Amino acid sequence: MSKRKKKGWKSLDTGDLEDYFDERCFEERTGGVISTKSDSELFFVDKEKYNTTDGEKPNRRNKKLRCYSNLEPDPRIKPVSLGKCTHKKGLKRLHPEMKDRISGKLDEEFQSQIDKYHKSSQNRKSSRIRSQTVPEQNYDIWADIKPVVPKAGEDLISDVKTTKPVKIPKHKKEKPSAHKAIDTPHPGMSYNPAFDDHKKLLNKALKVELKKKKKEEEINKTTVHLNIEVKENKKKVTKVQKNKEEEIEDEEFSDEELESTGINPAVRREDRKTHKQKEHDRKVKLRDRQKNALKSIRIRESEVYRIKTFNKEFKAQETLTQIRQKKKEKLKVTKQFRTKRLGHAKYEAGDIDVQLGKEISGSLRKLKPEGNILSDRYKSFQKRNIIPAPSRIQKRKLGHVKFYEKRGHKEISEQAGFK
Amino acid sequence: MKRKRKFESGAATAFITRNQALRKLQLSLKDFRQLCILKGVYPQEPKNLKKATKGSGITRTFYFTKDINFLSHEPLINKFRQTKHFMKRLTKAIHKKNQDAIDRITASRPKYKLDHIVKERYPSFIDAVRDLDDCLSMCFLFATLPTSFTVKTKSVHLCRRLTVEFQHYVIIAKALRKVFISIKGIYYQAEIMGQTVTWIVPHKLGYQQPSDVDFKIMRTFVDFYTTLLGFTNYHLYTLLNLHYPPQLQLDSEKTDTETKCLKSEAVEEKLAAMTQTLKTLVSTTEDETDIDEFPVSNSEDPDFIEKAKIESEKLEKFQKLFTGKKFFLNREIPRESITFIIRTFGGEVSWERSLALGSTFQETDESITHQIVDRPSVDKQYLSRYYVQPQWVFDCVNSQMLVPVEDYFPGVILPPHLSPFAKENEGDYIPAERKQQIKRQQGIDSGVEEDEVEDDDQEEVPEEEDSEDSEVEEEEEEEEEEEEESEQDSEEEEEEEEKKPKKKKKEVKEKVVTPKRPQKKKEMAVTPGSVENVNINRKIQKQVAEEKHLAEMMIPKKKRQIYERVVKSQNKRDVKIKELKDKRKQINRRNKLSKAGGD
Repeated sequence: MSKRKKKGWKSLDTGDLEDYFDERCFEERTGGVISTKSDSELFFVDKEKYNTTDGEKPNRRNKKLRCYSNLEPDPRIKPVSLGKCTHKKGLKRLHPEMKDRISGKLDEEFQSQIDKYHKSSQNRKSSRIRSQTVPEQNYDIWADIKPVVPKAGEDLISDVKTTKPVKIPKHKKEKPSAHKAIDTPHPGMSYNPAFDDHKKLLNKALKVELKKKKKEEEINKTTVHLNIEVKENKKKVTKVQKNKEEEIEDEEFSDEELESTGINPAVRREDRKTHKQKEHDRKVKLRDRQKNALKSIRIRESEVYRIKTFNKEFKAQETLTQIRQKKKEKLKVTKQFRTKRLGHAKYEAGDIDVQLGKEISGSLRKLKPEGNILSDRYKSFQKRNIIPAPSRIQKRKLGHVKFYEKRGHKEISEQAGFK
Repeated sequence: MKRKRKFESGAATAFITRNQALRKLQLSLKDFRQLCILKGVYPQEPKNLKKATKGSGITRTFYFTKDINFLSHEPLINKFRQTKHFMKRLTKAIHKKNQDAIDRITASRPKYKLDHIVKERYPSFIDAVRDLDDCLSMCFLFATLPTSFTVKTKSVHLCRRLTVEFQHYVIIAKALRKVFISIKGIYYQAEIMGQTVTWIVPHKLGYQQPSDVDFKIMRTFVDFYTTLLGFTNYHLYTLLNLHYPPQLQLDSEKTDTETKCLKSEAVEEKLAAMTQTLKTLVSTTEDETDIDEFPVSNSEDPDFIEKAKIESEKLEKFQKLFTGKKFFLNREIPRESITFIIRTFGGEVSWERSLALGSTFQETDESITHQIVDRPSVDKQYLSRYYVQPQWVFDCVNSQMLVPVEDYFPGVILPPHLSPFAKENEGDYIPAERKQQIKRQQGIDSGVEEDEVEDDDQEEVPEEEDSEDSEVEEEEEEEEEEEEESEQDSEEEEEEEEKKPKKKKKEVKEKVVTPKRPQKKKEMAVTPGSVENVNINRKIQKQVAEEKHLAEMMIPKKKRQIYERVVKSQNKRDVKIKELKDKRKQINRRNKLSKAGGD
């Protein structure tokens, strides 16, 4: 038989062998192989007396089924141990602090901690309320900042990581104007001024007022004058326009003539230069050039004798530059006091606060304050180029309202008018 | 190479318009304005408008591009954006009338601090002190404002607190130097850490809201200035070893029960009263400090140290102007300003208990030296004290000494209140009252010192020459009569001044005599030699005059015209001064005559 096919394979009966191994395994599990054991190990002399149930046969019905008895643990086989059990039975697992607390060790400390928490929360609350009302300045911003020194074992690199502060532009250190924040008061502004001082202040105010008036008058004059002129001009313009229109109508007919005498007239054969003429012109040009060159050389050579005049000129130039420099320096100083134009609107100085002789009471009790410091401060900021002068606030335009008289009213009013 | 185009460098890129800046920072105009004020970024005016506007030449508000770049790093911008979002939420809740949401949202209003900006703008403390003028006048102004829609109670209260704290500092440091009551308000000048700080405080009556002021802008200024003043106060208090939230030395609870206000309010009011001194951290006894003497040989000014010493002594004396004096204020007096001034110069102040908190003693106290009164007559008068008008206190401070009380009795027409800030140019006419004030400031009492003689020397010479043109002034008598009223009270000083020239004339005569002495010694005799009396001053004067004459001769032809013009104008001015002086003399003479006639 060939053994190429499964059919040819000899089927051996391994049942006996398997049984044997099973038995052996079982024996080993249940305390060693029986065949190798000595007699004394296998048997013992039973010396106890048993109360045997006389005559009673073991009840078969009580006998367990093999399938069930197989499931029952064999007392000879020890259970598998799964390592040690660490905790004892019957004890609840607790956090060590809790254990201490239960035992009463930390009672006082715990209470104190609770109190602290409440206090801090209250503080936070109150600080929140206070921060709404009063910003706290409870530290010195100008105190010297100590450089951070790393502790032993701390890494230096962690300190290096700090971000750099933003660079402030250089011009920010300069003040926008050289004017003082608070102008020194004029002595005439005293509540009980000396006569001279008061007079001086009045004069000063008067000058300003006169200037204003003069300007106003000038404007009036020019505008009134303009009105007349505009009317006259209009008349003239209309006349001129009429004339022009007429002319245009006339010109329309003479278009052909226009073409012949245009801006760029056509080049005609008769107008062209002849070769001879061209040659002549060229020669003349060349001669002139040579002449001029010679002349310029001559002039330059003769300049040696003009050294004195040159020196004078240089000196004059120098003095001129010096004067200009001085002027510039002066301008620089005055510029610092200038109010710049920082927007559409131009800065207008406020009125000088003056009290007339009648208004001055000479007593602090009867003093009537003049001028407003708030608007004065506001003007001062503008004067010192800190804020731009405000453009005039445009009043909101109301919608066009049409007025008319009711018919009934109109009749009555007309009647009243007739009467 | 890259092609160079127009408007890619220079003024066109250095400046940025406001609208561009708004777009760049993504802020609203309102927020941007606020940010600029807080950060101290100011608009600029380009030199060449056409270049800066890239050809259009329309005036706009410009900023430096660098400034705007600098602003973009500001953490405050984030806060502004948060507030914008917050406002959106809040308005939505309000329109929905959801009260719960409104409460919740308002509680989470984003707040910002300006500490870092203060530090950035004023890196050192002295910078902050230099810029304190604006800050103080704004805070003092806002402290007096009535609360309204435009100004919040909170900021008014804060300003009040800070200004009171600052005034307490000035009191303890004795830093006040000048005071001036103008029709606008009261000007103060103090010296803090070597810097003069000037501020103005409005009169506490008749406030009218101006219509031309943008309150939003002013509020942001105050916002910044309050933080600045808070920090400066803290620093100043720590320099003097004081508790920073100031605490009063005596905390009598008796008055607390009497008053009906809250305890915190009572404490604040008492602080504002400024009658008590503050508690210090360390109990120090005032020890007199002497100036260290350094072996410095200053070639220009050998007695530099001596002068400094004299100066410091004078200052010390000035600072103790009112020490040991007890003042009682009547109820019609501007209490705060006068209390502040008297306390800075060491006096004690009180008022009627029913008037305000903080009174320390009663009117019946016999130890009161001065009672300040501003009414024509007083019913019940104590003999042990002077009754004076409030101007006396101010004039005392400005003349740095206790001015005679007689001119300031109640009902008397007061002498003019002169400005201590006025500065006369050399050669200007100085009226007698002002001259006296200046002399008093210099520590010279009228009448004795030698320095005066020197001063008067220059003034004397022209007077002698122009004794003839007294006739000219008869036309101007009408004006003089007006002058009389204001200048009646200063006759006494005038008399003294008139005496002085006489003395001087004698001296001059002596000087003239001295050179003649050697001529007498022509006889052949041996007489004991005497030291030649050489008047050095006169010699120097002569030399100076000679040098001046020589210098005048050296002036080139071109500049001579200008020089002559200058001299002419000076002469004109001198003539005017002479006229005024003569007028004055005449008035005084007439007054004297009338007085003698009356007696």
